[in-house]
Amino acid sequence: MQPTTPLFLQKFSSNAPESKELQRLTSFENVENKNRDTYLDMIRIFINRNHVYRRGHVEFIYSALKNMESFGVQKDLEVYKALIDVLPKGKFIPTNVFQAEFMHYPKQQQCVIDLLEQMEDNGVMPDYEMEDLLSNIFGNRGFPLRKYWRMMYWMPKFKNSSPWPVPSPLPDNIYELAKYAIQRISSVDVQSQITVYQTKEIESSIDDTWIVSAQAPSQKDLLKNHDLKEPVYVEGSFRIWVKDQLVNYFVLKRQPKQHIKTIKDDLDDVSNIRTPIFSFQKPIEKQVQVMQSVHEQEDGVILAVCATGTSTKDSLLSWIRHLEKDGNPVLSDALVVFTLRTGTREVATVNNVEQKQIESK
Amino acid sequence: MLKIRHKFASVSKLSVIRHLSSQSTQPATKETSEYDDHRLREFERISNIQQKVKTKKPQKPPFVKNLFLGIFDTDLLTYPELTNEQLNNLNSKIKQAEMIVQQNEVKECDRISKDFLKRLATGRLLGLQGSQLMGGRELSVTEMCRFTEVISDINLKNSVINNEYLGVQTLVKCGSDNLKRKYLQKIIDGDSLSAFCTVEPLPSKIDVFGVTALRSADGKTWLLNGQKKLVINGSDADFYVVVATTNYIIRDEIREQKFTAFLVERDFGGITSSRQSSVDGVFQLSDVVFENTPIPSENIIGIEEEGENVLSTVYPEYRLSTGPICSVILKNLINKATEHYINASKAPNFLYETDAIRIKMGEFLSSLYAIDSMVYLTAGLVDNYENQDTELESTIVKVFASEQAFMATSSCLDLIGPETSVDKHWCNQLHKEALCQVTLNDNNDNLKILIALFGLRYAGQKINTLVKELRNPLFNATAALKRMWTHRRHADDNPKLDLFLYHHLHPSCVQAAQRLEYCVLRLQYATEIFFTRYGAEVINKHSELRLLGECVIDIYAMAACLGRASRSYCIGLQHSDHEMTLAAAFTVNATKRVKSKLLTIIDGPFVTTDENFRFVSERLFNCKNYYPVHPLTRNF
Repeated sequence: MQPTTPLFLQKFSSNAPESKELQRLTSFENVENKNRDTYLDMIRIFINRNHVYRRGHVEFIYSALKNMESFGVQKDLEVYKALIDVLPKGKFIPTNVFQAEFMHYPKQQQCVIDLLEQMEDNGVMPDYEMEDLLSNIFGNRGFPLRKYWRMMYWMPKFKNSSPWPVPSPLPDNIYELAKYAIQRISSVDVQSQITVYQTKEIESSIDDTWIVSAQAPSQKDLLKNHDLKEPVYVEGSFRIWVKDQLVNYFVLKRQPKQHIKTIKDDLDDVSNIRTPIFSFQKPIEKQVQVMQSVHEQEDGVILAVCATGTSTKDSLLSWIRHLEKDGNPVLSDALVVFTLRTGTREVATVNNVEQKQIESK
Repeated sequence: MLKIRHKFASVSKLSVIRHLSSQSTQPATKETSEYDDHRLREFERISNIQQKVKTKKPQKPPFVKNLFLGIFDTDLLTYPELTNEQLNNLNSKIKQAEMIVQQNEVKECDRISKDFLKRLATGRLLGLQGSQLMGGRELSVTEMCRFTEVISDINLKNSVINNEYLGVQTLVKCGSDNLKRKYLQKIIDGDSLSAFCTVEPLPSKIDVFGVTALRSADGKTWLLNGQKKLVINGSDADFYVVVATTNYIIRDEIREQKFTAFLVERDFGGITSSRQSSVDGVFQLSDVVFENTPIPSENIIGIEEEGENVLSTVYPEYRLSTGPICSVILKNLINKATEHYINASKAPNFLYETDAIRIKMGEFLSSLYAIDSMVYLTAGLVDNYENQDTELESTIVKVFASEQAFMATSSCLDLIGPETSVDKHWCNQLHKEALCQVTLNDNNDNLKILIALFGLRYAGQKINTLVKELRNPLFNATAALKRMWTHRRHADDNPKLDLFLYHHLHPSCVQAAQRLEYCVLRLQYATEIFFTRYGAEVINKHSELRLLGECVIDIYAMAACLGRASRSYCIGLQHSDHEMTLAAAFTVNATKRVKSKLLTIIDGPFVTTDENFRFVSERLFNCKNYYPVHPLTRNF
């Protein structure tokens, strides 16, 4: 464990009674305005106070790393560079092979490795300037520099590996986040269309919020062919993470259909290849069995997904009505059951004819 | 004259009786000179009728489909001929037709009008295959192709040919006598125009046709609903031939559609059409919408729910008609380019003496030579054999002709240079016309796949047991080992040529004939390998199907060229030595193409780049647009 209170402070306070500086230093925790500027001020003060020896820099760095999140600078490359810059240049560079291999100034090296590790955890990618900095402090054979090189090999590779890229930094706006989340979920079907509805367009709605909804044409077809005797369910809320942000979403689904086991044709039998006299599309082998769409899963058939601004049942009701207007007229007659994980659970048809309690899930 | 009258009487007693009776009921006062005139013309028309005696050889197994099995019917190398009498007759008729077509009002006309149709009707250029009693010509397919060449000179050729090959043909071949009397007569007289509606906006399901017709309660009328796209003559036509879905057969959750062909008059109501201009800006395509259009039951063409039969009777010849059209496009291209280079050359730089020009022009010549050979070979097959299956051959002609015309015109644009950048340049115009032929009604890319599938369906029936054996080598170990030995030369890409095709050609064609033979044998081998690898899944392997289709096209073209050149050389036609060279040149190039394409199929998907392309385009559809980042992008 790193010392929570820098040791040097007590020592320093007994030798040099400049209480004003002391107070500032102790109080990474006590700073009133915690932001990037005050954080950098703290570093500057440390450097200026003792520019010859800079005693206790390791403890200072550990303490600074610990408080990064509260200042909101944990993703700021400049801040990390400023912290590394605290270390003296030249002094720690090994001068022979043994020093190089046996971790010259281990405490300092370990401290910077920890700093780099924290950068990595926060997804901050170093730059070339940092390489110069590290090589000036620890030399080309220093462990921090080796760590740096490994980071520069892997981090760019991972940076763009997500198939659903989101901007960095993430927008604060929950609406934008919801759009990213729904986009990601609905990407199972290339044809999915994302529509944004406003609840206020539905007359009887209480909430005034947005609904990000996604539905693919094949889902519309599935809903169109839905047997009205069976209910459709609005389920949720489920959670999806957009980077470190949580978004709640809901699905409209129905019970899975019992699949008729169709006998797969004998692939060795080539005596009956069907050809149309002409076709506007490329012919595909379609005689074998009805293709299951990706929306028909074992535990249910997903008909649509959405995220709403308030995640309330009222907004979901508005969603159903919007879907109904938007090419799913079946929903006006279908029995829609809300099985929500929070709040009361009720059955409701969209036209509010029937409402009854159902047991909680 | 007596003899002719006798003929007339024997051809149709019915119409004679009708004439006599109309004459007898006519009041005496109405018999004016005008009526006499009419009667005279009628008499003249009827007396011109020549009874066509068609003797056909018995049906043969389909020629090109058999190539997939490595069977080469050497009749294919005997280039079809007309008798002297037929040819002289045809030539004199063609001369008359050309006179009509060369009239400015006909040739330059760019909007369908009554006057235009009437002019064609007086030249008897409408309803060419219709009964002679109605004023048609009852042409054979070969003669029809020759006429199509003539018609291809006019601006509105697509409209006329579409009317001819789809509208008239449907009525002639499948229509009832009633429909023929009611509608065909009007077409032949130039009083009305037909349109054929097939293409539709892409349906959401895998259904072929979204347009539906429902029988009304009394069963006497049908109600037509839906939209047809890109209908040639769609806005000018007086009646439409519409193929619509009339029934679904549901078997194991799989819907199968049943089509019926209807003849719909514009006056039936509920029909709206909107015009669009075609690529070459000459003829017009329309979207036609039917809304609750009532159709009487007697307007069904052919048999109810047998619409597919109507399509498969009419379509082969329609596809064949692309051949003569493209042949004329290419002929114009070659003639104009030749003229251009003769005029553009100034001493001492004679452009026409340069390699660059000569080689290109030679390529164009061999393309055109191949198209012409294929058209008349195919037409001959249809004419000479009873009920011959030529769906594959005619589809090949459509694809080959339009593709060659398109490639030739585009490379000619490049050859001539900057001056073709102008929209009105003749070469540009020809290029656009060729483009129309590529995409009109059914596009080449689909057809190539279809060509391969036509062949594979046929081959699959014949070699089913072999394929089963090959696909299960562990159960048939002896057969598998035996095959490794018997097919060892195929594995080395050096099959033993044992078809002896050169026996049926002029001796100087030996090399070319052996190339053709090599291609046929390799095609058979590739088919077997292809089946062995994918079994019934071949239908999904579009990339290989496309290649296979292209190979068959080339092989058929080679056979046609060789047959024609050899015939010309043997009977000593003018320029026949050049024909031999043209055919030889074509064979060399085609063999090269076939060889590499078949090798791709034989080697399988992992030596090609197909797998890579599949991988990269999967990502494309996930990203929905071009996804690689800009070349200047930095990551850190």
